[in-house]
Amino acid sequence: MWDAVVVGGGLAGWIAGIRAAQRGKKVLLVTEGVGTLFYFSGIFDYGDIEGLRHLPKHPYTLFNSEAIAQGQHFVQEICPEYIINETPQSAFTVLGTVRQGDLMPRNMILPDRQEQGRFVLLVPEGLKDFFPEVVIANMAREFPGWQVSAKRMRVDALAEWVKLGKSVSSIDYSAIWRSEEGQRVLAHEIEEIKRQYQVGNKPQEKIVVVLPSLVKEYVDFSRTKPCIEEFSLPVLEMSSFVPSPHGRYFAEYLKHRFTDLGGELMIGARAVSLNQESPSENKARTCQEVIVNSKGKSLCLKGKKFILATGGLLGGGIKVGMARKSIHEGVFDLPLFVPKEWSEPQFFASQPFAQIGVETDELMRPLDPARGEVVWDNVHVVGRMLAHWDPWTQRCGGGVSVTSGYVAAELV
Amino acid sequence: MREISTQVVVIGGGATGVGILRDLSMRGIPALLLEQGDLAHGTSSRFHGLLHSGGRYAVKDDKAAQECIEENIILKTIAAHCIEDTYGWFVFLKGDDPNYLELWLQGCDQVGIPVREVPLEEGFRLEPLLTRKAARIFEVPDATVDGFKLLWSNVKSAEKYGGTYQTYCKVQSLWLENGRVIGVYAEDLITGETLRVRSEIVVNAAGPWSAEIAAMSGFNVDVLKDKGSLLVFNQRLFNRVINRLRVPGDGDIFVPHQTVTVFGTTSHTVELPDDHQVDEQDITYLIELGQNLLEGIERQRIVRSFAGIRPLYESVEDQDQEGRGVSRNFVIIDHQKMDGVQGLVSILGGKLTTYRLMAEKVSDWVAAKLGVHTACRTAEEPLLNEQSAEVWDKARQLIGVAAADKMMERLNEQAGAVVEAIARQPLLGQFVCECEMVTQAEVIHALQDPAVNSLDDLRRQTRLGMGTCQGAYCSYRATPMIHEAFGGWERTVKEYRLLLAERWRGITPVLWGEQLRESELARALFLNVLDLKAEESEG
Amino acid sequence: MDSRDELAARLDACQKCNMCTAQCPVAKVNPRFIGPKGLGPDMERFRRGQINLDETMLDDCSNCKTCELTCPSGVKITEMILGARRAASKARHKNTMGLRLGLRGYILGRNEYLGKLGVIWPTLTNQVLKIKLVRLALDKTLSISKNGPLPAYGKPLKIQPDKVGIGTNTNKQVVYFPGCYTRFNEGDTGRILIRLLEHLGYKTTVPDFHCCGLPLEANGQFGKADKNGRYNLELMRPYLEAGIPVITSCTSCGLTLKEDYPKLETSSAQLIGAQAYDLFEFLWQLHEKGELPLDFQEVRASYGYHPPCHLKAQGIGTPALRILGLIPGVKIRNLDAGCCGLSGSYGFKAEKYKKAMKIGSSLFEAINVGSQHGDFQSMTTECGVCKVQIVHGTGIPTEHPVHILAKAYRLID
Repeated sequence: MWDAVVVGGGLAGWIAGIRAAQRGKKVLLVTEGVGTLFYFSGIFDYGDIEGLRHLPKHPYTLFNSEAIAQGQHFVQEICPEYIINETPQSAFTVLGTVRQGDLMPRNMILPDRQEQGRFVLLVPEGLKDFFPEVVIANMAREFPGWQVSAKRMRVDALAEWVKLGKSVSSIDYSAIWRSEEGQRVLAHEIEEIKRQYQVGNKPQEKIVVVLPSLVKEYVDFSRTKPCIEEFSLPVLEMSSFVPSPHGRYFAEYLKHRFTDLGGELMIGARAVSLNQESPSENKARTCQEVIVNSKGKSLCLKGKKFILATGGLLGGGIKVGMARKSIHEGVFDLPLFVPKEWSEPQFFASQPFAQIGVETDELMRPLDPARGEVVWDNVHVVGRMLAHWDPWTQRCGGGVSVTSGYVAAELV
Repeated sequence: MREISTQVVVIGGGATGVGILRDLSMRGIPALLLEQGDLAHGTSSRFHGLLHSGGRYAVKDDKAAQECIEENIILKTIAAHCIEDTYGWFVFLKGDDPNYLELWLQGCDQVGIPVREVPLEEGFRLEPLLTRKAARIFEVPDATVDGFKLLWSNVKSAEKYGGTYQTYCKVQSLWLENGRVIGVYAEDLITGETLRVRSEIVVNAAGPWSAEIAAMSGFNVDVLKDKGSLLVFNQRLFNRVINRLRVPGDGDIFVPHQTVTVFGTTSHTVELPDDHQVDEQDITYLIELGQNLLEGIERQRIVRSFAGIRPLYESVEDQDQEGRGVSRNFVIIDHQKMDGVQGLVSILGGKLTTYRLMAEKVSDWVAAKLGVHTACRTAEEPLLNEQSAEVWDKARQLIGVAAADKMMERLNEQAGAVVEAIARQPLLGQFVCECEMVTQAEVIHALQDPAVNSLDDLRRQTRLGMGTCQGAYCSYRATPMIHEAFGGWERTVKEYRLLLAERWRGITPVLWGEQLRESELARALFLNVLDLKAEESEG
Repeated sequence: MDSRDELAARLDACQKCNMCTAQCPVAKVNPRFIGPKGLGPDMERFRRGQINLDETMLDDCSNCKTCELTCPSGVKITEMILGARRAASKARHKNTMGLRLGLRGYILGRNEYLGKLGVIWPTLTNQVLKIKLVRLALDKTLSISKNGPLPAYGKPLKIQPDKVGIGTNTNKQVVYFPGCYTRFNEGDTGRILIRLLEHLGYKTTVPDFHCCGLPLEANGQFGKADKNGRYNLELMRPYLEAGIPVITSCTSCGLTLKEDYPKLETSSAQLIGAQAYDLFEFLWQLHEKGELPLDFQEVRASYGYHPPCHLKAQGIGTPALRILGLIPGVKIRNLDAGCCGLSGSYGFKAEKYKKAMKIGSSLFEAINVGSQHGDFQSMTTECGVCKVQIVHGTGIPTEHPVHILAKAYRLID
């Protein structure tokens, strides 16, 4: 019997699993794949929390500000490189435009636009899905007072790639930046930049090196050799495109935090249904076990609490059948809020279908929207499975997922 | 105002128009084609992609069937590179009308459509998804045809013979003097400039827009605008064209097209020539009909829907009929006879399979008027397709067999330059569109064409954005190319928005299942990762 | 839903996100490999159109299934690639290189025969395999890497005839599928496992199984793989019909029994999936039922644990960690630092050796860092070839977790 079975290995699931394990609980996390963390740009968006709270049934209405702050501190506790500020901070997108964010790594935070200085974009040869000319043009537009230049660089280990015309994914580049060779190459390039721009006419000029796919957070020194800590110039990270090195390393880091705390991970298994205590009238039911398809056979996983973190539409937790004849939640077959209107004519508008999800009580237990009663006593719904929000237009994806995962873990 | 002179103006850059341009050019008649949008943006790209064998018309319309089988044979020879000779099956289901089956076999026999009965067991082995309700299967020489490629091949061939064309150039009015059409006024939609084109003859080949063109000078042509909706499935569900053997109706043809399957259609009369909106009701109706041939249709991923307008000819005696009852034959209207005005001819009706024949007939008419006696050669002279084996081999080495073969099919004799570019700079061999395997070098090459004015034009040329992701990844991957070709960030963002909006129109009617997930992913990419501004909703 | 339909649905699920490629251990080290997305779902759309594709590239996939464990959409990527290989193997042209690789596929795929050969004169074979000249000859003639680790051969595991008889006491009987590695290279592990099960009150039968077929499949010998599968299933049939569990200690054999055997066209194929157990999965089930004795002696030892790819792919978590966690004194750390690189017989191939070592580098680093920190002294993992590769890459002693459990039960020292 597990204290908690977390279904789904995305941001909300991992946060719930780690926090519960940290509290000394016996936790099992079941996930089919890596979840949607690989889409993570490296930045947690919290959005206009107070404003969103005024929207009826928005997930933020379930949490008090203390819980939201606790979630943020928890992220900081596991990843000390993340900085919380009173005012929103800015970072470069992968295209060199500037985007705001609420919780981002120290290395990503942009300098003041009012200052003057020089950005030198280090352009690793053959980096996939990265467009230096566009980035430089955008950086120059966003920072009118700054000089922007680029320096191309190559890594010997990738010579064969370059020769074949094979691009190198940003995840593979970030693996190189973590290696001794990569660190050496970077240190050398940065030293050269320093020589080129500082030895010349303007020794006082502030120089910032900008490097795509540098992921300096989430390094686990119990599994990797320590690398050079400081370069001779400040290095600024850019946020990531998909599949994102930030997401990839963050996911691995979370996984190791979880298993190091004694959590049991069951990957490659899909939760499909559940067994329940025989239901009695007018009483919320208790889930006994979830049934998981492993290779060849089904496993029954008994738990005291179940946390549903299967990621909504994108994560696959909610399936919409052809012509929307069937819309259902795949594990508990929970009742869903389904908006009447389905989509907006403009692609970039807030889409009604994004609001689909599970309505819950203040303890994130699923409600039947028709009767307003709790359906399962010991099930908590977190992250994108919750109804009434749109992470992309409301810019609160990280905030809702972290907070709900954290709060659910406190309920275990 | 710019003034140009030519002998013939052809209005409309669909299959018929470019066919006429090529035919006239081969006869040595100077001609200029004007197209309001990109080539093939109308009906010629909004159809099944089916090269008829005539089987569909064998019972109802033997003339159309006859034309189809003749043209089918000709096109397989002169345009082999645009055609995949898949063959087609007519599937007779348990419970379907046996009388129709008899009539159909007789009809095929009479017009000379070769028919082979396929044993059921073989049928189910070759097409595992085919309904087990199939009772008999007949094979006919149906094939699939790439409308874009066919059009472009015609244009390139015409250019070789001196023909010219201008896209994004909208005819504003006919130039009439003394009861004679002596040219057209047109607007260059890119520069805003007005053009006056003087010509001896104007050919109205504007398809669904032909009534609008004729009406500019108060003439009336009867075009029935018949909208058909189609679905695009994510993968090749069948390897042959699958028709249902019954009276032709809605939702009874599946056409495998490269990596996807196109399924349709419906039939509704509409008012506007560019009414391409797909109704969700039509989709559910189509899916229900599709069940008859493909039982698991509900589980298949639909990437998008689209609609096209059939410009059917509506003669006086047919006027009380609707849609499918109207002849699929074509007609040439000499406006001198009809309206007493010289120098104007309209071509109406027809279908893509018979585009060449239509072009031949119009060109015969034009040549007779101009006193040119050169005979038509379009049935014999193949469309350009000079693929060098050497270039092909090199391409396969550089970008892999699948990608190379697809590129060679798209680019033919122009592939050499692209392959050279990749050989010089191997990184240009990376894919911009991974679903359809389109390289950076090919995108750069396409952008050099003055006819490519948007990301959406680029899509029609290269198939970028037409695969599984529907633009989610490939429009991002095209960023540096469009940034350079169209100049600057604001324009780049605008192009993303336009392409994704265009794709969205086709996705929203089928917004469920995996394509819904893909759309949610695209929103995450553009609104979150790339931080584009959200739009206010209209509602 | 028939299997083609199922695969088609899985193909439709691909969102083109490239996460599988980003995680693929082979794509990391081989620039010529277009990666799982490219070779799997992307190409599959073209293959459906019967477009000719680069067949040789299909062999670059090491069949580790990391892609399938990564995919957020449940796409059966490796299965698609294997299916394409299966189709391509039917129409492969024969040139000298093709012949040589074919022969190697034959040798590496037939661990069983190599094993039988090896155990007749184990010392001799081990010595022979250590001789540089012989390795060079293998390299040149069969493209089997001269630097790569090749497992040593020891005292083989004997067949255990069914002494109990089916049905006499079905609750307390199991069939053990040792797999070639345990049988020919590490008979001790098999013998300990049998003693352990006996200690728990189970009679163990070991029929004369053939190789499970996974290495055959990985080396393109599809026909032979299927034949082996059907043969083994026939041996298991009476036991399966009586509801007797089949235990594996090799995670690759286990995966094959659970994933591939159910697809074979024979009656017992329907039963094997639900009755095949990894040893520790079986023990955990006993524990949950309260049937696992917990009278362990303290084992003062610390281990790093490497979860083999084919264990993860079974979707059962890490039951060995759960069981070993019950033993007082045992300190065990789940490193989970990626694929070891060997992936069955992939790393034995001459042209793949360096790549295999590079794939394994992050695992080796995690092991070295951990052992230098003093987190553990030795390693434990279920998979025999992972073990060979770990020892080859780090020099750190590595054993099957059943050894640790046996120590706790005082069955061995």
